[in-house]
Amino acid sequence: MSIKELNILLADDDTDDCLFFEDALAGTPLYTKFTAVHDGEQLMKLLNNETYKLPDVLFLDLNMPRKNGFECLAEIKLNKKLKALPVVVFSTSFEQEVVNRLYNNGAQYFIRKPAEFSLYKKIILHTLTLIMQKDISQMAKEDFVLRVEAV
Amino acid sequence: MGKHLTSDENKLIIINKPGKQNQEKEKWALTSQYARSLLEASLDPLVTISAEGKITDVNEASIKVTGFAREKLINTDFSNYFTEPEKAQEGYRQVFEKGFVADYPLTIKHKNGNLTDVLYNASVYKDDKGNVLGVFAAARDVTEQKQSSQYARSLIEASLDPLVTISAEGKITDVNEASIKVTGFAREKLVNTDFSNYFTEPVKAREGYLQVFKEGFVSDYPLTIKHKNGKLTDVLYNASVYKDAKGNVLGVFAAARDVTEQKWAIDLKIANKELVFQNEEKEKRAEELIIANKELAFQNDEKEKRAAELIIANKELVFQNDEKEKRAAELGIANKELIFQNNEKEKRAAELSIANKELAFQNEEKEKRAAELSIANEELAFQNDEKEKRAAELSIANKELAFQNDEKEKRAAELSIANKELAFQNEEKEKRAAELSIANKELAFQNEEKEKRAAELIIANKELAFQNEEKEKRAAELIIANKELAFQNEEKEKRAAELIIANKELLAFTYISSHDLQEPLRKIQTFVTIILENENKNLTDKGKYNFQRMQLAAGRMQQLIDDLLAFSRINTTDHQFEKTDLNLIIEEVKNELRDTIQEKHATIEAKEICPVNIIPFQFRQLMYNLISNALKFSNPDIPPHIIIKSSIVKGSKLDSQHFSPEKSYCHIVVKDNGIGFEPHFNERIFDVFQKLHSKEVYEGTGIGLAIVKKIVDNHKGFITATSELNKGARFDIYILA
Repeated sequence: MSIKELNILLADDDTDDCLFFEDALAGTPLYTKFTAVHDGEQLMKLLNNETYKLPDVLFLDLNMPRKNGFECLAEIKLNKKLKALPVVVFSTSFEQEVVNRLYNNGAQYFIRKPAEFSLYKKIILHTLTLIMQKDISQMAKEDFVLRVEAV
Repeated sequence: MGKHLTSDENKLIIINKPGKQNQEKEKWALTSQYARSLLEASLDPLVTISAEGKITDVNEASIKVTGFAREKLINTDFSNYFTEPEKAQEGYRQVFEKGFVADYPLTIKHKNGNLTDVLYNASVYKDDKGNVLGVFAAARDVTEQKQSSQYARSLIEASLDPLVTISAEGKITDVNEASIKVTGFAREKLVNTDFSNYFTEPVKAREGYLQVFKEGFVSDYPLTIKHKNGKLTDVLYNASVYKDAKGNVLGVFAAARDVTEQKWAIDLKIANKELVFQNEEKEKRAEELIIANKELAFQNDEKEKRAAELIIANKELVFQNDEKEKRAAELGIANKELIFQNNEKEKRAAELSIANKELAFQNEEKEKRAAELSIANEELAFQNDEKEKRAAELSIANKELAFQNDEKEKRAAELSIANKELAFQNEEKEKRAAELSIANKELAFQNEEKEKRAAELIIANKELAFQNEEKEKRAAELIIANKELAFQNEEKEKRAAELIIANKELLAFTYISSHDLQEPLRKIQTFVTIILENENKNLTDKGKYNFQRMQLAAGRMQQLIDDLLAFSRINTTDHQFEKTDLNLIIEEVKNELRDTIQEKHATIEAKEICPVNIIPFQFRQLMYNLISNALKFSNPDIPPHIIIKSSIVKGSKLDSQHFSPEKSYCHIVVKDNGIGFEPHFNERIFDVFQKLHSKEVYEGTGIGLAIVKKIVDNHKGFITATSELNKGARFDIYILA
């Protein structure tokens, strides 16, 4: 556990989910800084801002207006400055195909948004712990999907 | 004195004029070149002889006439070249004695023997002090008279002075070479042009020649000739008229002298003197003309006298003519009386003539009648002769007829024989006809038979035609029926296509709606858990319970949506078949279900697994559903034991209509030791939402096996479920190997 502030960026158009995420984050013992953007364009604009200090991790929703999560992920991984940023895909539905695609495109983890709030907190803490503990190199494919049941 | 020469020649052959000899010699001495050219141009053999009789000079003509070269001739004796040398010596002695000879006849001999008869004119020539230097002798070939004009021409041409002859009209009629040179025009250009054109002052030139015609001559008449290149030559003209032998003026002869050349002055003076002499001659002629005119006048007077005498004689003749006319009138009357008497005599004569003609006519008629009688008698005699001839011919004809009758009888006999032969032949023909009649009857019978057959065939044909018509009707009906079927098939295909589209739309709708339904559902669950977590102490037990029920309902709904999504995904996803190791798929599924497997202490046994041609993603789902079902519906008293195995079998070994006997199938078996089900459910369990247990006992949506069935269908395979209650379940899957 680092004493340094963990800078977290969430891209999700759903305000409820943003609220859940922030509440969940508050429930963790981590010292964090939280920022949320609500569509893909906003996200990329912020990341490409020279003065903006890149976060330690990006939680990325897939279904977003204007520019979806797939497009954002691709842009980030093709950009030299941004490709090192760990991207955790945070989505409502689970499809193996989609998961494979995201893995191939360089996402760090895939998390299915849990229904229970307690699980929400658990999975976020777990994910952040993994991010802080491990270097940002991509996981093996079987460890790509973080399961609430395993936490 | 040169009687063969013209007056022009006289001017130049001046040696013949004793009074002018010394002057000529001076001229030659001064202009030896000129003299030489004149000498050389001369066609006459010219020669100079020394006092010793030696030749001192000759011209070209002398060379020609002797045949010796100039150098051969000079310094030889003059007399050597003549047939009579003594006469030649006598001739030049005479010249030295008398100063000249004229027309002295000699014969020159050519070295080839040719002889030329000539007349010599010769004179002495002297130096300027009067000493005699020698003899100048000119010979004239007397055989060649016609050469004289050529000679004159050559002399004119040889002159360095422009010489010209002019007609009364002022036209140039002839020019020499010097004239051509001084004007620059060719001879033919000059002839027939106006003389005055070639001078700077044409009017003055014209006055000049008019003066010649008027006065007979002009001398030293100054004019300026213009050359066509512009060069001017001042000249003095000496000109005089020239005449024919009868003294008629023919034109003007004009000689120009370049006045810049003073030496010509002498020449002009000589010419002028000559002209003066000629004028004097002309005046003499004029005086003679006056005398002649007086004679003519006298003769005219005489003629008038004769005319008066003629008039008197004419009057006498007129009187005599009148008298003759009167006598003529009297004679006319007498002639008329004679004519009347003659007429009367002629009438009488005519009447006599008519009477004579009538008598002559009557005599002729009598003679004609006599002649006709004679002819008639001759005709009768001729007719008698003819009759006798016909009688003779008839006799001959009768004999001929008798002969012909004999011949006819012979032919009749021959005909009789021929008729008998014909009769025999006719009998033969009748026999043949009878045979033919029998044959015809046979043919008629056969024809009847054929007609019967034909009638039968017609009936048979009609039957066939009727049957064909029936067949065509049936064919037409079939065509209509086929069309109807084709139409129905098309309609079915349309409906099928519409159904496929509708199904796809429905499945797409299911997928999308299921996906979007998840989000609000999840939020309901999340909010419930937040309430339960954060407001736990504010809730009554009943309230807590109700929230828990709500939580469960939402959870079931989420499961339902997940399963529906999976079911629809089977349809919407179009995957490629791959040769796949089923073991890997089983391992993946085991990994996924490892928590449950551990929890239930389950064992999964996979053996004799063969590679299969499958859609890997779908088959993974199939395995997941079957294995998870086996784990879920396990017997609580015994740990689950699942056996998976596969083998390749021939379609012919399988007793079902689903298989093609010639094809190979992969047979996969998944067997468990769970609770199983009643056998009559072995088909219904594959229906969607078909559940055999309440959700309170076994959670589930009733979609899992429907998905399995659908995946097998996608693989064109076949699945069966076999079970008895509490005796485990067995699933047999057959897909194409």
